Amino acid sequence: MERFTEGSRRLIVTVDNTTVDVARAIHALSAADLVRLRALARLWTRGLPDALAWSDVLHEAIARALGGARRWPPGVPIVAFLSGIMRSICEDQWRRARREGRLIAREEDVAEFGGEDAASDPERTLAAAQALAAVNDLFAGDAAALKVIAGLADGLSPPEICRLYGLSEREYDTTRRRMRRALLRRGLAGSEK
Amino acid sequence: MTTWRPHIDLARLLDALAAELTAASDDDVRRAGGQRGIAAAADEVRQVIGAVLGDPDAADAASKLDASLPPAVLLREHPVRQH
Repeated sequence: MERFTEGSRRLIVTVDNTTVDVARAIHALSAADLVRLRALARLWTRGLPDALAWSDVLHEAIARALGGARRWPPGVPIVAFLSGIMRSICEDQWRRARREGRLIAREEDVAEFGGEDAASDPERTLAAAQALAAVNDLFAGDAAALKVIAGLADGLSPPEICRLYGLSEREYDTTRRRMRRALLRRGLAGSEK
Repeated sequence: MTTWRPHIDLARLLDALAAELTAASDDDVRRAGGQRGIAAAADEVRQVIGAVLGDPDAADAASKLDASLPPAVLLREHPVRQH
């Protein structure tokens, strides 16, 4: 959109079309979409080293999308687009915390995780392990969900997860539905972090 | 000895769970939150959106905005060039 009156001293107004599209899509989000966004923001911020609130990350993601810092690829749903930006913001946050040495790993904690990676970058290893534990906590008490979580973290496909843990296809689908609702409930919960 | 790389596991897991949330049906959302829970959570997100758009009190307004209109924050004013 571009409007101006030539030769006058009136102000012209210009708007980037892509940015307008993002704004329209955000305004058009349904209540269910807003809940999904909140749950995604809480997922990405879970276990983050700094006390960065989900609302801060979502705020920044929307600002970047509207500011044109990130282009909205055609065919990608707006919720997935904003989720991708939140992912990137949280990754930056992890990197910054490591660079500034705010993640201090104790030797005995790192030894517990072992491996070359742990030796070369103990802070990163410990922080990631703690974040993984924070995600696992979400599903504590649901043995099947913990198996699916372990499989997803290992990069296994659904059939591989079923085979490895002896789950039927139906059990797998039911477990995933429970997990989805647990994540949504967590997203709906009142506390900030 | 196999090296465990928790940051890679974490990235894979978060990606998978984010995909689950993105794909959650409206029915999943309803069952998880109930009418009141959804309304309250949605209002909080509208507040965040309103804050980005420069109106901290826009929780209510954001839900009523005409989706066909660009928000005020997108309107950049430039003086017309003098020739």
